[in-house]
Amino acid sequence: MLSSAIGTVKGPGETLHEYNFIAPDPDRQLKHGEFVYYTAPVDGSERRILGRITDRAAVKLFPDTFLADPSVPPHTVAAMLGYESNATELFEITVTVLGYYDECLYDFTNPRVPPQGGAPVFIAEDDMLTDLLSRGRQGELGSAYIGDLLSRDPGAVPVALEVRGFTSTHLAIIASTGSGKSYLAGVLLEELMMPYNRASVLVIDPHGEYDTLQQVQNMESFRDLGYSPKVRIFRPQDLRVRISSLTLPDLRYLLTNLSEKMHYQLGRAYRYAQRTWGEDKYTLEQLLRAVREVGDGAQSEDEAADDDPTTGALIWRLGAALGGSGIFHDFENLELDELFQPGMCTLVQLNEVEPRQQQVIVAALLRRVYQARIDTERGKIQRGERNHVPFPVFCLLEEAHNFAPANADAVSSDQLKIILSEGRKFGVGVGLISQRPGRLDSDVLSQCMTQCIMRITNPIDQNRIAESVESVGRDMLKELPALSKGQVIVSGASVNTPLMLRVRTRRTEHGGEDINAPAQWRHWFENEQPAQAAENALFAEKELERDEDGMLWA
Amino acid sequence: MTDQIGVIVNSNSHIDYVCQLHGPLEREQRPPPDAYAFGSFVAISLPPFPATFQDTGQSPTAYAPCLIGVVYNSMLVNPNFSNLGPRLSSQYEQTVFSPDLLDETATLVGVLALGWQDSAGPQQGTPRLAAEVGATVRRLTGEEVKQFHRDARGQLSLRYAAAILALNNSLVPALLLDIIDRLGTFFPQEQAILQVMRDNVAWKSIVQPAG
Repeated sequence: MLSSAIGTVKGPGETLHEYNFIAPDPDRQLKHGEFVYYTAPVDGSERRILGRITDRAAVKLFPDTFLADPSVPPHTVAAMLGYESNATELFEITVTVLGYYDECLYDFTNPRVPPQGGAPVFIAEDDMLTDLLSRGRQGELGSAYIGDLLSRDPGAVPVALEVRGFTSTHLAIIASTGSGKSYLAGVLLEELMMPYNRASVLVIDPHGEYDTLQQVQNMESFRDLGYSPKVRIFRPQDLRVRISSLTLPDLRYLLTNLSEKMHYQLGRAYRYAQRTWGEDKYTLEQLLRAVREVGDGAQSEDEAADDDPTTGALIWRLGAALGGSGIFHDFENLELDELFQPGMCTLVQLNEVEPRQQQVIVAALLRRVYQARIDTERGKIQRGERNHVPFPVFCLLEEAHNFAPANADAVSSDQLKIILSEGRKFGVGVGLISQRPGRLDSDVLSQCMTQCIMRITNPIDQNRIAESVESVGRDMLKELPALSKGQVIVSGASVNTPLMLRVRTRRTEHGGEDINAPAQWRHWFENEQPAQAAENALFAEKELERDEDGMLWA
Repeated sequence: MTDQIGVIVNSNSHIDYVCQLHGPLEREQRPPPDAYAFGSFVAISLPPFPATFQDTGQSPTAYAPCLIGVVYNSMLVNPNFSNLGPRLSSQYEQTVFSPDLLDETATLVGVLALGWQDSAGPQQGTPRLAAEVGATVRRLTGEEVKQFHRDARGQLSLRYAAAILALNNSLVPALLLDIIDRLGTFFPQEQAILQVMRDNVAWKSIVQPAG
């Protein structure tokens, strides 16, 4: 327990909510982002006013010329000149005041009582920070323990997000490749599957790297009195989207390079099909027939295709986009009760699926679950019906910039925006994971109220974060390029103040490992090449035999 | 042979003394030039003066209280300088008829007090006691210079450096460089530390002013 003062207040800082203090800091405790406090009277009682270190400048250092020879420590030069004290450094530390924690508001309140000059400054104790920084409590209902405070020893200050916060007001995980975003997402999913959360989660997994989450089903730590989490994986070949569940914008998005006339005819055909066979009840064949029905050419099937180029082209495009794909189906669909269930994590793997189809699949899934939640909440759907979803759901989208790209239209963008702005009312939460925030729609990013930001070095991406993420201060954003793998800045609705964390170790294995190319190349030389050489030798021998025999082999 | 070079005749401050070198009428043998050369370390006797003061020709005892200083300046005093009027007697006649008039020419050296010596041994820093007019000034031996630059733990010590640099005298940087060079021969094992300090002073006094 640290209780002795580590510095002395010098005076107010540049802005109203800053102050500076002077500290020798021989043990290098006062790191950037560390938490310190001073005491001040608030409403008649002494309160600890917490603050975060945002800057550190040296006010006393050895002269540069003392550092001229690397083999001569500067303190020996100073000692020769008669300065024998160990106090050779002094720092001016800038602190941004967070305030004292108000138990009624569940937030920090800045009392606007500046510290007195000369007042002692203390480093916040681990226990105090554990109590004040996290909204959730490790292992309690509605908490997600994702890691420890970076400025302290591992495990000293565990930080648990409030699951309620990010499942209702959405989450963004932003990080460059290789900085551990999938790992962090894995940690979050593990926490959501814990007995104290039992969440209903859908993961859109374009790379198929979350397979290892299946291990939670066999781990004792995820079980509790009759509860055992389920992980269901829909591989690309298992995906089914009923053609009649696609909307007109979905169809238009799937069929590229449509002329205006084709757009018009497709719209008429779509409405014709809905009118004739009922919403959500027609097949591809019936849709094609509708195209012919509303076409300009003759009404007979064969004639229409031959005579009217628009009808012919539309039919060809529909056939190519929907008929040739194993995903779009006349009757089968991924039913919501198969996808969503409390205590179940559903992985929808979209690897090997064409990008436009991925966007349509995601848009269709999100639209259906959102509509189902609205209908369930409003009592339009009763228990026993297929689309009855009487519980909140959380959807995690990997490579979110593909589903809500900036400066480009994607059919999934609009649906995401609707859910991000309205979803909290109906219990549909979205988590977006992206390595290119610069390519992610800024509206989409700014609607995510909990942000987990890992190392970002690209300046365009950094600017997009600065524009879209208000809760992270500029001082924190400066840290982005300096973060190491597995270190994350968490801010927003699920924590009490922006925090720099060290992500905890996953209980399940991580599936997002890179391919070890040199090892595989070496493996090829050691195993594959000899085998291939043996085969070639065998083949050459056979050829030789044939030559000697003079026979021609088939 | 004596190591005495002269007596204190004036002071400009608590640490800045003026020593008049022994002239031909005081000593048979005048002090050799290298005894009062720029950067020579000297001891200024403190009261009570040693009984040997009265021309016994012996040095003060090793631990007699004294100030330890360094020669940093020299001045020549010549009353006849610019006295170009008519004379009744020639220079030679003056040596015969008025030798004490010739004695008015003198060599003065400026001595900066860098520390002191008492029964506890040599100490660096601003001395508490001041020398008096007439206090003898003697040259320090090489061993005494070495002793003066060693602190209580036996480490090389140059505590007076900052104090004399603060005097803002144009001769001080050169003085310090000279001292450091000499100390390098006394303390070869501390050469690296001295070199850092030498480079520091040289940079500030040679490179920066010319830049």
